[in-house]
Amino acid sequence: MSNLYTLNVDQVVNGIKNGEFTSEEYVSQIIERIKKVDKKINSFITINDNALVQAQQIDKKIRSGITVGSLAGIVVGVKDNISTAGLKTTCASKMLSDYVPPYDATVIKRLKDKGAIIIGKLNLDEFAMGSTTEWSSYGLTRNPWNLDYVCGGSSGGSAASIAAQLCTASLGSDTGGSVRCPSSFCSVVGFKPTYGLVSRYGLVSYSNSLEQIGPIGRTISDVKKIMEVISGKDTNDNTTIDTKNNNIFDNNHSDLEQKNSQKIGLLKELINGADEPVYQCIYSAIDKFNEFGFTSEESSLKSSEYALASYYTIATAEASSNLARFDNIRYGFELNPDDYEWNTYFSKARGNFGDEVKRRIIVGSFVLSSGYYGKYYLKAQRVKDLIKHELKNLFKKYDLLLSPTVPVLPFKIGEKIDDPLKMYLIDINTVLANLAGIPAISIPIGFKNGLPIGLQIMADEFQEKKLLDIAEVLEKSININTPYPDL
Amino acid sequence: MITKDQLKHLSKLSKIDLTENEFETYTKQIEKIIKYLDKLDEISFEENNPSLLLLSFKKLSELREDTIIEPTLNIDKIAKNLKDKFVRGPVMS
Repeated sequence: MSNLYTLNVDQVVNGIKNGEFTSEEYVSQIIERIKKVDKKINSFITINDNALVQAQQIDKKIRSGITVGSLAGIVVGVKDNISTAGLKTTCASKMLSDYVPPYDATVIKRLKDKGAIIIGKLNLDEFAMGSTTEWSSYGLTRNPWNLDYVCGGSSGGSAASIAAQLCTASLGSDTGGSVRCPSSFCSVVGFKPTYGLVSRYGLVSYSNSLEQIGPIGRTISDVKKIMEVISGKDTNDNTTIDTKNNNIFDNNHSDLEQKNSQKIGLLKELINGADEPVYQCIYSAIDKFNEFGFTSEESSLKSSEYALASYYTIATAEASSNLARFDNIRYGFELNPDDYEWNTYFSKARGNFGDEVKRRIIVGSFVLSSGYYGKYYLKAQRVKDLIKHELKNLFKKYDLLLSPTVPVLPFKIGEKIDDPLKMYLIDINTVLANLAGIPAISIPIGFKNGLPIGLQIMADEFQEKKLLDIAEVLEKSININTPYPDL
Repeated sequence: MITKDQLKHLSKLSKIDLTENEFETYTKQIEKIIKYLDKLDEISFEENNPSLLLLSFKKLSELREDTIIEPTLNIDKIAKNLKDKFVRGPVMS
């Protein structure tokens, strides 16, 4: 069969189970495509050499009549800050260039248990700090829709590889929009779950009070399939929550039968702040919602003005603490310790972090330092509480809140690299969901000058079923004429 | 306002060596970032805002407990520069 790489999760699983093609045939085609296409976009850091053997094992099980998992044969790419046993996990940093984790992250174990094949590790901004995937020690990832443009970040490899059809689905991590921003820029679906729904065990920590692992796929249905497997209580991560009785991802669409009672809030601060083409595209999507019988009206979140400052204070503070573990003793650069005093040795080794990581660690040290702790960190935590409180009130009135995922179109590579603040402003719409711990999704809604635009939909915590069901209605109604880039 | 001297102190606190060029560039960039974070000063948390009375704001003492935790890491499994079950470290001054 030709072009198996175009298939979605259900098509791959059913095709393999029903004997239309083998898992080995599917994986072979994917590997061939990665070899052909990835040199153009650079979405992979490491390819799993055992993927074909794992595919053969699935085929053998099916031939022998042994039951296989619900994701048997699908190919998942994994952001390179999620631990994979026996497979390098570099965080796109020279600091971890040779690091091979001795264990699988919980999300990886769960995917493997259901028969998914980890095809490789995907590019990112070093330690997930960035919004364009230009800050990788392994070279930047290009946008598959236009190779001169950024693909978004920090999970740029995870989104670009889906747009380029190099894996069935992928995993990213979202600290301030790192799943949703690249998904918007690459015209794919990216989902950030409620904080605590997915285990962070095995995710290399950047800002652990904000980040969640989230799936990226071609459709909402693909994202749901991955979420069904990776979510739920994990004894290795005490922030996870038991979801067994919540039916978060079941296929009962009863909520949708009362469309007229579903109210959608349009966050005016976020929509009005968008560039003109993005603004217009968002309102076309809102019209579609209204055509389907949903009720929408303008809503306001006053504290959103302070969200980005709060986010970057908390994220950098946590980064400065989390990255203190990279001391070049347990892992790190080849640097002979002889003739160095301790502090000089650490400082010299840690000077090899990339620019953005160094900047964020230093800003984090500043906001936590004596005399500034109350002024920045404590206030940022209070703003976080305030945002959560205001959003909670909005969700008493609205079922979902809408905004552009990113207020601008994808821009040219190098355009914002010398101005960190301009780069941070890209995250202005996405950080809200991380500060409040609520679920949010980015879905493709159109193009302007060949560049993708994404819509962000947010719901109250643990309302993923409602969020994904309603987003699916909109997804089906939007007909994007060019579904895949020509590579 | 971040000065070059402050940045030197911060790089020492963060245990990150910076080159002269980096000091020049980062001073300007970090100053701009901190100036943006000063936005947090614009928001009033005074009690005259009724919506904020509902919030249970954290106090300094609740945010951080300064206790020393001894490392329990099984270092001989993963350490670099292992020699005869000892980790070779930098020279102590």
